[in-house]
Amino acid sequence: MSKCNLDFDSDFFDSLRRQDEKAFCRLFHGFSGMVYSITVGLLGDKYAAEDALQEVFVKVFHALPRFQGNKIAPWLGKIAHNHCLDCLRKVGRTDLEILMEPEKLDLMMEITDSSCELPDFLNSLTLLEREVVILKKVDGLSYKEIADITGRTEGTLRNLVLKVLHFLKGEA
Amino acid sequence: MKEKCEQFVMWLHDHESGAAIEKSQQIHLNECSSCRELFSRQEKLFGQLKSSITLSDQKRSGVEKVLMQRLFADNSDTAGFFERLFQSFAIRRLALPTAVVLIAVAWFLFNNGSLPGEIIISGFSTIMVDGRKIQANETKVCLKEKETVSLVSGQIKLNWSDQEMIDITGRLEFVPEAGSLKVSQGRARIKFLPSARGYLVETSLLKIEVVGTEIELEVSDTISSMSVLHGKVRWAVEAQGKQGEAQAGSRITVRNSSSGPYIIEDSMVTEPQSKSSDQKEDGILVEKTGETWKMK
Repeated sequence: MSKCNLDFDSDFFDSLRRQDEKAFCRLFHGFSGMVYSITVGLLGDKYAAEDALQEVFVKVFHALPRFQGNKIAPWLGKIAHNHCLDCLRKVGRTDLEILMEPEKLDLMMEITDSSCELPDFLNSLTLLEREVVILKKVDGLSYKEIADITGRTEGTLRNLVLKVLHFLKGEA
Repeated sequence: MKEKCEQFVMWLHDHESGAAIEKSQQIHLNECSSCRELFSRQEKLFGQLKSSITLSDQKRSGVEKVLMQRLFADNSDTAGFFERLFQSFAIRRLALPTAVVLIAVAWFLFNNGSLPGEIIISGFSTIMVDGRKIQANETKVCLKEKETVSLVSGQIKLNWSDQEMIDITGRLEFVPEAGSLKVSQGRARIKFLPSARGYLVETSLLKIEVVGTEIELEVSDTISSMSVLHGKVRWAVEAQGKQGEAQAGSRITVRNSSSGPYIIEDSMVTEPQSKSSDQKEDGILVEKTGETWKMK
């Protein structure tokens, strides 16, 4: 189920726009996992991702009065996506480098299985492929929501995930 | 069969890892070893990915605590203050001009009368600024360009007008500039907020570029030692043309000798507050000589 279909009523969105503490707390609990997976996927480093998680929710809090509609996941995801790209640009990375040579994902702390192919697999993907794979396969967002976050068309995103599946099948 | 395989790949492509398999796809999966293998590989890989990038409850509550303090502790105080102030005015139409005046006064007080671009020090500390002793108990001290600051005790925060911020705890003599800290001596723990990424810390022997978040620094005329507590930094010893990256848990020490500076790369394993999972047993110190590591 898409994160957009979480059971939020219009009162909840009104409370969010008023920057109500309880509503914001509920928002954080509902979406901090998704935002963290975006930040760790883009920045590669878990400590930087935790810092970014905090900064993203500060930005979200200040932007809440301007939030319109009820599709909260793509809106949050877009803020997280843009914040991470800004962080990468700040350390002098060009947009082309960011896309084609993403930060290496530092996941080794959790992986105890020496035969694990995850780091190699993830580091062989471009930044967009990695982000799309995480948003689709881990967070379960729809292609429409991922398109809103990444600014790419649904067709492009579907092709990317198909490419990754063919790669897994050994057909790449 | 090929058509069914394609249908199965399309089904996989539309669903997240761990989703319940539809009955028709399950029948195909029982019959097709190639799709079974693909499915099992996908589930294993994305299952690992999910568990490795999942935010633990402990980390979530840690971030939440800091976040709520940042957003609501200040807001509630400020909101209460303004509410009480406005209630004391009988005529509501005075609210807007009053608010404008209050904002201007608050801005002036916040900046200590400083202009944007200047560096502001705050925190509970004793500092010396160009020989003047200042007790900075949450009062803000505005620095002029290239002023030497000695943190004698306590903790200070360095703010730039664009809100970049650095926390320093300990004893340290330094000159803060927009983009770098020039450290002459002392020992302190320095925490960089994410917006400070790319900042330079320079000592007479060592140049450090901040990638991660927290380091401990010890500097004297003959030694510059830097321990990475959280995140990572890039370092360079210009006199030797050497550079590298240091992760959390590692330490770079540069000593000055008669034959020039020499570098020791340590694994820092006794740091009590380090978040690094690379920690080994307390009291053990390993040292790198050339390409080999040995116990000290």
